[in-house]
Amino acid sequence: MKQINRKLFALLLGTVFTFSVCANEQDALDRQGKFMAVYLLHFSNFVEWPESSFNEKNNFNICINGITEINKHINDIEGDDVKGRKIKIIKNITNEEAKNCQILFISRIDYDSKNIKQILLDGNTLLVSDMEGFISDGGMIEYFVRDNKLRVAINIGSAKKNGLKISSKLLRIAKIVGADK
Amino acid sequence: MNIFSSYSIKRKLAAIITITTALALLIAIGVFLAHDIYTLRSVLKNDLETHAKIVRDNISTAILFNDYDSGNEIVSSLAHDSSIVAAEVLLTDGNNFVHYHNNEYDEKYIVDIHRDHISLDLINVRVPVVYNDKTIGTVLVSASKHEITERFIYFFIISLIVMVISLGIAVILSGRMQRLIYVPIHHLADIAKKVSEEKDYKIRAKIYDDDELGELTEDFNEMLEHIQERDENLESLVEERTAEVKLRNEELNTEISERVRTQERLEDSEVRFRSAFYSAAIGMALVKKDHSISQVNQSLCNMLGYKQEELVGTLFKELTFLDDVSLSVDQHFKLVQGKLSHYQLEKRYIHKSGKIIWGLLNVSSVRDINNDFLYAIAQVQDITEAHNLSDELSYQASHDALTELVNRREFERRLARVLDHVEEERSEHAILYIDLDQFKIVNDTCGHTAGDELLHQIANIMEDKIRQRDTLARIGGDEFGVLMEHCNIKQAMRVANVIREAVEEFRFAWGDQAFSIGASIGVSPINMSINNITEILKQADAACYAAKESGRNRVHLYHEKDTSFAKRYGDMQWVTRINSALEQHRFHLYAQPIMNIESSETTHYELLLRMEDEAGAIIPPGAFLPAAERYNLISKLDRWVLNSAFHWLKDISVTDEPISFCSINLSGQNLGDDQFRAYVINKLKETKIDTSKVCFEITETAAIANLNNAMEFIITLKGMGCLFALDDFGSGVSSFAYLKNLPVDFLKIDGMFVKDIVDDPIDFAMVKSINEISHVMGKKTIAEFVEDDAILEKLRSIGVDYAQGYGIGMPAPLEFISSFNVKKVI
Repeated sequence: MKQINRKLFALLLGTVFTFSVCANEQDALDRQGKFMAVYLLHFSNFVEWPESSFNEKNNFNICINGITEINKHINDIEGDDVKGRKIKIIKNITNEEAKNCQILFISRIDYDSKNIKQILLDGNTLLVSDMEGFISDGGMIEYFVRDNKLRVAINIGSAKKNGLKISSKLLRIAKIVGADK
Repeated sequence: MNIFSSYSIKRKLAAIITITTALALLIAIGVFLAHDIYTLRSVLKNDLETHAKIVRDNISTAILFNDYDSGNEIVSSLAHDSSIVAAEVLLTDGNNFVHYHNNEYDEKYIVDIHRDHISLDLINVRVPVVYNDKTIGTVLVSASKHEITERFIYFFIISLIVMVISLGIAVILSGRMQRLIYVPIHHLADIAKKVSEEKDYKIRAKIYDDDELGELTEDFNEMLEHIQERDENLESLVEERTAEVKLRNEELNTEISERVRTQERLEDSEVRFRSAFYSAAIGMALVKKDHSISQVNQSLCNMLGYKQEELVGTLFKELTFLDDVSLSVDQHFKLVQGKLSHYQLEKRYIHKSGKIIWGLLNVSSVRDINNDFLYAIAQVQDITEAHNLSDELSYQASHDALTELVNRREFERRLARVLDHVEEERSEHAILYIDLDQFKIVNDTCGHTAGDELLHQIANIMEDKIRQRDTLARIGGDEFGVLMEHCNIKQAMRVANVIREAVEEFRFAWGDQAFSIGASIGVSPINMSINNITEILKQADAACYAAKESGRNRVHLYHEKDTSFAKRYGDMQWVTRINSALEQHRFHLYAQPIMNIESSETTHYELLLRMEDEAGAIIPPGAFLPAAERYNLISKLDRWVLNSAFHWLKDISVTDEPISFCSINLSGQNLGDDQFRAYVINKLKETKIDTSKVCFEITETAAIANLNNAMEFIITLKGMGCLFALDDFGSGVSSFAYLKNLPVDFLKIDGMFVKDIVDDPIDFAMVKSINEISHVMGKKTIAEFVEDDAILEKLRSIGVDYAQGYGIGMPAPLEFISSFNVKKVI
C-alpha cells in the first residue's frame, strides 16, 4: 500500500513539473485574456452611451464574437452592475444583432474588416478588438501589447461618429488615434 | 516675598513693575508662537492633502488599466513642491504601484512613509483611491517640517529682542512714575518723626495729590489738630473741676438739712397711717415677703374671729380655704417679684369657728427706692353674704325647688353642651325621658301635697339608680329626664330598666293608703345625626309615648316610626279623636255575659266600651282610656256610658229579656266628683229604670286610693238601690282590711288567679280563701277569665257564685244579648 502511494506521488510530481514549464507561454496568454475581460468591464464606466441604445430589457449587453482567451474569463463578470444595469454576456452574434450590444469584442482570429464596416453603419456599439490595425478599419478600441503589458488605443473620431463619449480619464492612459478626424 | 520685605518702597515698586511686565510679555510671546506654529502646521497639512487628492483623482484609471507610465507621470507632478519629500501609491494588496522621491532629501525618508509612523521631521497624509465605491488603492504623501522649524527660530529671536526693549522702556518709565507715590510717603514719614521727636503739634504735613495718600495726610494733619486741641482743653478742664467740687460741697450741706425735714414729715405721716390702719372699718393687714402677717387691724380680727396677737406671724395661707390657697400664694409671690404692683381676689377664709368667710381681697405692694419689696398692704372685705345670695340665685335658676333636681332649663343647657361636642369627640350619649304612670291618681285623690311628696321620693329613688356623672332633671310635672354622657344605648337601656324596676317596686304611702307607681321610659341616643336639642327631646318624648302606648311601665328605645306614631296618635290627637268619635256616635257598648254557676243561668252582663275608628275598626279601651284619663275626658266618656246603659236598660225592660242586672265600669277619677254623682242620680231618676239592675264596678286601686270619696259615692247610690262590685280584687294593693270597710255587693276575683286555678294549687288556694272570706263578709264572688269548663268545675267545687270569661261568653254588641241566652238555654 505504501509503495503504491509513493509511485503515485512521483507521478503527480512529474506531471506538475512538466505542466509548469509548458504553461509559461500559456500563462501569459491566459493573464492577457483576463485583463482584456476586466478592461471590457472598466470601459463601461468611462464611456457614455446614448440612452436610446439600450433595449427595453435594460441589460448592459457585452457581446463576444470569435474564439478568444476572453471567453475563459468573461463569464465572471456576467450579472455585475453597470450604471444600474445588469451585464449580460452574448456570444457569436450576427451583424444584424450587433446593434443590441453596448460593447462588441471581435476576436482577431475571426476578424473580417467587411463585417466591421457593416456593423459601424448602424447603432451605438463600442467595438473592441485585439486585431492589429483595428482602429484604422474604424474600430473604437484596440488592445495591443507593449513592454509585455496590455495597452489600449482609442479612435476618438470613430467613437464620436457613433454617438459615444469617452472620458478623459480613459483617454489619459490610452494611445489616441484620429483626434482630428 | 520675604526677600522683598527689607527693600525700600521705591525698589519694591521697581521689582513689581519689572516682574509683571516680563511675565506678561513672556505669556504673550508664548501664545503667539504656539498659535503661529499651529497655523503653519495646518496650512502645510492642507496643502499636502490637496496634493494627495489631485493624485488620487488622476490615478484611478492608471491603476485600473495597470498603466505604470501614466501613474509615474502623475506622481512625479508633485516635484513642483519642494517641501514634499516622497509620495507613493499602494494597491489594495499592499504592493507598490508607483512612487516618487525628492532627491533633495535623504533616501531614508521613504522608509518612514512605509512604516507610517509619526516622525518629528515629517508630516504624512494618506488618501484612499475609490472606484465604483470600492477602494482600489491608497495615496501616501510625505512633507518635511523643515520650513516650520526655520520660521519658529526666526520668530523666537525677534520676540526676544522685542521683550528686552520693552522691559528697558518699562523700567525707565516706572522709575519716573514711582516718584508720584513714594515722595509724599517719604514726606509724611519725615513729618511724623519730627512731631514725635519735638512734641510740637503745630507742624503740618504738605498735601501733594488728591488721592488716598492726600487723604491720609489730611487725616494725619487732623489728628495733629485734635491732639493740639485736647492739650489745651485739659488745662482748662482742671480749673473747671476744682470750681465744681466747691459748688457740690455747698449743695450737699443744703440737702442734708432737707433730709432732716423730710424725715420729720415721714414720721408724721406714719403716725397718721397707723391710726387709719388700726381704726379702718374693713379688714387690713401688712403682709411680709413670706406671706406672714406682720400687722393686722381689729376689723380683720373680728372678721376671722382671732385676736391680734394670734394673727401676727401667722401665714395667710393657714387662714385660707384649701381650694384657694394656691391661687392666693401664687398672686402674693408675683407681687413680691414685682410682676404685679397690686391684685384683687375673691377668696375664702376660714373663720376660727371653722365656717367659711368670702373675702374680697385687695393687695398692693410697698417698695423702697431700690424697688425692693418691703411689705404688702392687704385690705379684706367680708362679702360672704353677697356671695351666698348669688350662689343661691344661680342654684335656684338651675334647679327645681321641689325635687332639688336640675330643672328643664339647666337640663337643656347641659344637653346643648353635650351636643356641641358630640361631633368633635365622636362620642355616644343617651337621653331618657321618664313619665310616671300613676302620678295623676295620687295627685287627684290625695292632693298636691301628696303629689309633691311622691315626686320628691321618686326623684331620690331614681337618683340612686343613675350613674354619678349622669344628669337627672325634672323637666315637667311628672316628667323626668336623664342625660347620660358617654353612654351607649345598651348601657342606657339597662339603666332605664333599673329605674323602671325601682319605681315599680316602690310603694308610695300617704296617710293610711299605699300606691304603686309605674314609669314609662323612652330612650333615645344622642349622636352626630341629630343636631338640635328640640329634636332630641322630641324623639325621647316620642319613645316615652310609645312606651306608654304599649302598655305603660316599660322601657322603649326610640325608633323612627315612633315620631310619626306619636304625631298621629299623640295624646293631643286622642282628644280630638275621642271627641269626634263621641260626636259621630262611634262609641259602642258591648256586653259580656256573667253566669250564675249554681243555676247555670246567664242573666247578668258586664257592659264594655268600644271605640270605632274612622275606618270602622274597633279599638279596645286600653288604647284610648289612658289618654282620656290624662286629658280629663274620662268623665265625659263615663257619662256617655251611663247614659247609653241606662237607656238600654230602659228599652230592654219593655221587652221580656231576662236580665237580672248589668255591670257598668266607673273610673276612679269620677268617684270623687260631686257633679258626676249628681249626674248619675239625675239620670237614674230621669230614666226611671230599676236601680236594682244597675251594678257599678269600681277598681280596687281607684277605690282604695280615694277611699273616703268612694265610700260616699257608694253609700249614696246604694241608698238608691244600686249594686256595687269591686273589680280586679287581688291584683293591686289588696287588703282584706279595706274590703271590710267597703260596702260592695260583689267581689270580682282577678283573672290572673283564676285562669291557672286548675294547675296551680297556690292560685286555687287564694281564690278559695278570697271566696270564703267574701262569703263570710256577705259578699258574692265573680271569677274573671273563666276560659273553659275545667275552670268552671273547679270554681263550682269551691262555691264561687258567678263566672265570666271567654269560656262563658265573648263580649258582643248589645243587640246580641238575646243570642247568649238562646245558646245557653239550648
